[in-house]
Amino acid sequence: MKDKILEKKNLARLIEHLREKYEVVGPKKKEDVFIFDYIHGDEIRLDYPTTILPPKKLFFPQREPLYSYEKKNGEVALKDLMKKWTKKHLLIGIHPCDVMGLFILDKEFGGDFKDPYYLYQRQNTVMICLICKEPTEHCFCDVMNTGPTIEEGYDLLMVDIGDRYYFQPGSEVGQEILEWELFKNATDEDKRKRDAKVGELENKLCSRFKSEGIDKKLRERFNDELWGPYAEKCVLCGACNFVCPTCHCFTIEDETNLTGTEGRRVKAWDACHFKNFALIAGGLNFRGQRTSRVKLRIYDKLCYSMERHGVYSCVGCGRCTEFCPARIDIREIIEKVQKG
Amino acid sequence: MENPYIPELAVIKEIKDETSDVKTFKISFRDKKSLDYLPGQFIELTVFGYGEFPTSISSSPIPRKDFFETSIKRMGDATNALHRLDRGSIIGARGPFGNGFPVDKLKGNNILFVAGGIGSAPLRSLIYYTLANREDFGSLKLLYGARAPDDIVFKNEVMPEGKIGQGLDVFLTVDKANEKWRGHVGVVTTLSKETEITPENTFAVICGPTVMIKFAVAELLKMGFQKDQLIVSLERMMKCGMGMCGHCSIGAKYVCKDGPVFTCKETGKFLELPF
Ligand SMILES: Cc1cc2nc3c(=O)[nH]c(=O)nc-3n(C[C@H](O)[C@H](O)[C@H](O)COP(=O)(O)OP(=O)(O)OC[C@H]3O[C@@H](n4cnc5c(N)ncnc54)[C@H](O)[C@@H]3O)c2cc1C
Ligand code: FES
Repeated sequence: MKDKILEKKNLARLIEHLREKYEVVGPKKKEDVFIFDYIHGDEIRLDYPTTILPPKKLFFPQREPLYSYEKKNGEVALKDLMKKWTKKHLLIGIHPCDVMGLFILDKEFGGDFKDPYYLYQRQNTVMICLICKEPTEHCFCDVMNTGPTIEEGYDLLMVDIGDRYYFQPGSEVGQEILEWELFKNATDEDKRKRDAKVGELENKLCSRFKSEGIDKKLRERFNDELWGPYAEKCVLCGACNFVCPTCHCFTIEDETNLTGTEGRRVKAWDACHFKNFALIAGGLNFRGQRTSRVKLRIYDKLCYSMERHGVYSCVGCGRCTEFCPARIDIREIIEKVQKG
Repeated sequence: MENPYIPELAVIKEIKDETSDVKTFKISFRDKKSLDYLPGQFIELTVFGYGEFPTSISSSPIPRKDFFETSIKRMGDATNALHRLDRGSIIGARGPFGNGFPVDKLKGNNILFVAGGIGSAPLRSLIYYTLANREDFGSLKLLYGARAPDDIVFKNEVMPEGKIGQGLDVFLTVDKANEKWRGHVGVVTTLSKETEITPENTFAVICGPTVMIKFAVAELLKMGFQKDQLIVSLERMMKCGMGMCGHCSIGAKYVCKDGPVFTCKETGKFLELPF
């Protein structure tokens, strides 16, 4: 099927059209920041630079009930609390780096053991990926090879080319969506503009450093004095963990009533930067040292993930740098390690 | 899709007091399903209303039976709550998880079991497994250290008059003796001198508190054991047991899924300290 275009003035109508079949999630403005949320046509803001939280929260919510239990007369009854969506979801406006982030989560939650909560939500969501309008000052997807464009992971890929959006299908579902009457065939001129837009982004994203081989360099520098200052500077607030598209650590908690006869078990985001992350009963803390926790996150993204999955699990979205209260810049760390 | 977070309901069939703070629970699944597992694997056990925790299976998988055992020390919320339960109570169990001991690799060799405290629980499973296949192994020796005589778990099994007796040489030690104790005093590593152990055709399987593992490994290396002859079972904070929640990581490894059993050759490549 051919690529299509949609005039910008028809975007709100597209969203309303999609809402007939899907629950539509996309970027919208909230006070002075952007977030992913359920949206109506008049709310969507495809010009967003980045969001605080990546769309991973749709598949891996901050708190997710797993199951409930009820104790009665010596018996226990369990009930699976897995969501069953009445409508499929459609995520529009996700940037390439965040799609790549989901590929990492697919490996974490869909490996030897499968997380049915994550996979259900992931498998029942249509993805419309959007090439960024502009890189932010923190972006480095060019370094991590996760942008500015991607080859797979979307049902539709859209690009802003001025007064219209350019759409490429990536699946049958995407093709079906493009059959809607307001989509028009893309012309050669549209295609040229689309390629020019990607080229323009590539030029803007000209980072000075590379990611190739950083896993090996990190191995050599595990006990390096490089880490001391970062461990001191980091306030271990966990912000970088929570805003990261690939951080997947969670805890499992019970919410019970006062007598403990009823309750539910919940899976909730956790952060490896928190002091008690590896504290066991009896008081032994395997990550009691600040350096151990600060290093873990960096190594997990740029070294351990290579060993585990053969890819880096940093996607260069820049959120950890943007939202770090101590102004720790992961790009600076990569550059330092690469320089040796 | 199967939901690996939801435990299966199980019933406590029997409870045995081992020490003042350790009990062994005999557990059967409600639907009579038997559990297929290897020595060294663990389950995630739920006390409804209190929480879930990982615990080693302390019974042997052979001969096959319609129950499994786990021996648990009272530590925090969930383990204390479990100790308060009576026979017939309903709990939840998920698993088994982890890789278990490399039983095939151990075949044809002498085995030195080194246990500290409640670390004897997974070794009990392996010991009964090796005794059930006694002809497959060379000499079997157990070095077992406890804080005090009253803290020896599985006492009636490992003491000289105990039922394990034949086929396994047991060496006990305590950190602190009482007036009745006639045995050895000192940490478990001091036993190795008395037991005529040599590294030839021998694997050491070490399980216990993290500091004990550290000292035992150092001592055995000094005696000439190679790193791939030393097998350890590691403890880490765990939540999911399935390599997803991240809590149990050491370097790139998840102890719950890649372990908890590793050779020291493997742990040497972790970057982060294993013990
Ligand atoms: C592979 C493995 C096998 C184990 N086998 C045994 C055994 O056979 N017998 C035994 O008595 N104990 C065993 N433990 C230790 C046991 O898991 C802890 O004592 C238990 O989790 C304490 O839970 P709590 O709720 O009573 O304590 P709390 O301090 O209230 O712990 C809260 C939660 O933190 C986690 N946690 C705390 N301590 C540990 C720990 N040491 N290891 C892992 N997670 C922890 C658990 O999720 C626990 O529910 C084992 C641990 C591991 C990792
Ligand atoms: S316990 Fe969750 S990853 Fe190991």
